[in-house]
Amino acid sequence: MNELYEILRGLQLIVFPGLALVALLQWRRRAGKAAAWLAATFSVLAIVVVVSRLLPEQSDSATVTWIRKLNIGLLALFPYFLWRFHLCFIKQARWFYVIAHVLTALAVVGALLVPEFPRGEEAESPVARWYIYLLLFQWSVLSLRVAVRLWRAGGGRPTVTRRRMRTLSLGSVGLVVALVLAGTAPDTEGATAEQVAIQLFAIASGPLFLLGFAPPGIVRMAWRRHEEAALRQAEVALMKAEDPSQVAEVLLPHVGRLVGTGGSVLVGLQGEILGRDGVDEEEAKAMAVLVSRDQTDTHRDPREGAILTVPMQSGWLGARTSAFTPFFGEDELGILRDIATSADLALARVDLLQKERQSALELRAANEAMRDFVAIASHDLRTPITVMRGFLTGLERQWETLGDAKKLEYLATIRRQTGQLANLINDLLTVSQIDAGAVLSQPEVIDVGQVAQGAVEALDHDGSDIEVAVPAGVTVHADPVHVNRILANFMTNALIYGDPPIEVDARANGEWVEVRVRDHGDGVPDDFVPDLFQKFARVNRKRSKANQGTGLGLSIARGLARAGGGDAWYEPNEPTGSCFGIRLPRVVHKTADSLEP
Amino acid sequence: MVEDDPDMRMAIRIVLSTEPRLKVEGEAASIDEAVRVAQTVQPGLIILDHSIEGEVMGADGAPMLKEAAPSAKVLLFSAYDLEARAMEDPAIDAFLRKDEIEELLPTVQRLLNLSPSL
Repeated sequence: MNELYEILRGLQLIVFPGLALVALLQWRRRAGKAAAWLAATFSVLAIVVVVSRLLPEQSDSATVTWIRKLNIGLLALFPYFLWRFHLCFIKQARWFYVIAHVLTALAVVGALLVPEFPRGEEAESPVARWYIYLLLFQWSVLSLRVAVRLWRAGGGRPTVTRRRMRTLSLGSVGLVVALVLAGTAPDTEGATAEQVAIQLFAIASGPLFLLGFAPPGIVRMAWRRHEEAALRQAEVALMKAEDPSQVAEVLLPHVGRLVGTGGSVLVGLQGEILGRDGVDEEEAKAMAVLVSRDQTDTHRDPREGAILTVPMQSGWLGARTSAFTPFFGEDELGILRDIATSADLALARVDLLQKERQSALELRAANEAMRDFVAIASHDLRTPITVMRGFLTGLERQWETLGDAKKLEYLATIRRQTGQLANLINDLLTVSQIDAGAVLSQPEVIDVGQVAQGAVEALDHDGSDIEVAVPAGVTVHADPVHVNRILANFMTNALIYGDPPIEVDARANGEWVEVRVRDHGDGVPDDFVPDLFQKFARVNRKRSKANQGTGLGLSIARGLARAGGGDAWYEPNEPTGSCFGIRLPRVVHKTADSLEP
Repeated sequence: MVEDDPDMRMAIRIVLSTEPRLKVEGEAASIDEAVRVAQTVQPGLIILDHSIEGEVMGADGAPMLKEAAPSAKVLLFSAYDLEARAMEDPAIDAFLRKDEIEELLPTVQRLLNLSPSL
C-alpha cells in the first residue's frame, strides 16, 4: 500500500507540471483571456504540488514556514482562477461575484495569518483546523459551481464542445473530492486505502483536465463522427437541391450544430439572403449586411458569441457562434469552411441548373411566340385571299346577271383587300428584317418638324385633328423613311384608338431628341401596356380588324427606332390619353467658337 | 352566319347565292347575338367563324349554338387551323379553312344532304 501511495505521489510531480506546461503552450498559441486564466489555473496547481514536495517536512526555519503558508494561500487561487476561466463564457450573478472574491481573499490571507500548520503527525491547532475548513469550503463552492455550470452549458453544443466542457467539469469535481477527502481524513501512520484514493482522484483529474482543454486530434475525430456522418449525408442531399434556398435548407442546420446554437445565414453575391436557420428575418438581414461586407462582428459581448463570416465564391456564409465555439470548437470553425466550399459547389450547380431551365423556358416561350406569330400571320394572310376568292367566284358565276354597279362594288372590295394584303406582306417582311437584324438605317440630318408634317400629309386618314408643335430647327441624325413610318404609325393609332386633339412635340434631352405623339382618349389599359410593342398585339383584335391595321405597327416602330440607335416607348398622357415617344440621336449645331481654328 | 367581317359576310353570301335551295336566314357578329338569332330562326346550318366579336371565341361557343338550335349543323369556317380542335368537339359537325372557300358550297350541300347535281 505504501509503495502504491508513493508511486502516486511521484506521478503527481509529473502530471500537474505537465498539465501546466500544456496550458501555458495553449495560451501562447491561442492567446485570449480564457487561455490565460486556464494557464494561470494549472500553473498555480503545479507550483503548489512541486513546492509542497520540495519543502523539508521537519524544518522549523521561518523561511520554510512562510513558504508553506504562501503555498497554501496559492492553493486557494486554483479554484478562483478556474472560476475566472469559466467567466469568459458564462455570465455571473453579482452576488456570487462578491462571495467568490470574499472567500478567496479570506483563504489567501488566512493562510498567512494561521500561526502554524501541522507537520507530519503533529496535532493541528483549532485555528489551523478552522482554516482548513474555510479552504475546503472555498474550493468546493468555486470548483463545484464551475463544474455544474460548464456541465449544463455543454448541453446542446456540438459533441466535441460538449465533451470538452464536461470533462473539464468532471476534472474539477475530481480535484474537489480529492481535496475534501485529504482535508477531512484522520491522520494515521503509513498510507491507508483512503490516502491512496485521494491520490487516485487527484491524478485522475489531470487527464480529465488535459482532455478538456487540449483533446488529441484522434479523440476529437472520434467525438465528431456523428456530426461528420450527418454532414456527409447532407452533402448527398445537396446534389438534389434545385435552388439556392434548398442548398441553405440542407446545409445551414449543420452550421448551427457545429458552431453552437447561434443560427446562420447564406448570403448571395448581391447581399441577398439565400436562406437562414435559427434566426428571424430581421436578424438575418442584419447578419447579411455584416457578412456581405466581409466583416466579422467582434463588437459584442464575447459571452454572447460573435457573428462569423466565411467568404465564398458565390456569396458568404454567416454564422453566429456561441461563446464556447472559438475556445472549445476550433476544429468546427475549420469544418465551417468546408461547409462553405460544399455550399459553393452546390450553388454553382444550382446556378447552372437554373440557367439551363431558364434557357429551356425562353426557348419554349420563343417557340410558342413563333407558333402564335405564324398562326396569326397565316390567319391574316388567308382572310383577304378568302374574301377576294369569294367575290371573284361571284363575278365569274354571276357575270351575266350582275349589274355594272354591283360588279364595280365587288371590284372595289377586291382592290381594298389587295391593299390590306399588300400592307400585311410589307409589314411581315419588315418584321422579319428587323428580327434578322437586317434593317439598314440610312441616317441623315433631318428636321423633325418637317418629317412630322410630311407624315401627317401622307396619312390615309384625315389628319386635320393633328397639331405638329415642333419648333423649327430641331434636327436629328436618323433615317427619314423610318422616322416617317414610325410617326405615321403613332398618328394612325392616335386617330383610331384615341381622341383629338392629337399633338406632336419634340424636346431635346441630352444627346437625344424625344418626339412624342399624344392623344386625349382613354389611354392604353394598364394590363395591356407590357404587350403593346409585341407582334400582333391589339387591345381588341376585332376592332382593329375593322380598322384594317396589321397589328405589327408598334413592333415595327420600335424595331426601326432601335435599328437607328434610338428607342420607342409608351407612357400615359396627362391628364388622359396615350403618349407614344421615340428617341432619336440629336444633332448639336456647332457654334463658331467651338469650331477648330 | 356568324361572322364579324362585313367583306367576309358578303363573300360568303356571294358563294352561297349560287345555290337556290339555300337562304341566309340570319347574321351575327358574336356568340351572344348568334344564340339569339339561332333560337329565333332555328337554321339547318350555322357557318361559324372563330375569331369574332365578344368574349367567347367561335369554336368555344359551338355548344351554346347547338343548345339554341339543336337540329342545326355547325360548320366551323376559320382562317385558323382548327381542324384537330373541331374533330374533338361534338358540337362542331365540320371544319373548313377559309382559304378553301371554293369548298364551302359543296361542304354545306353535304352537311344538308343536298345533292349537288340539282
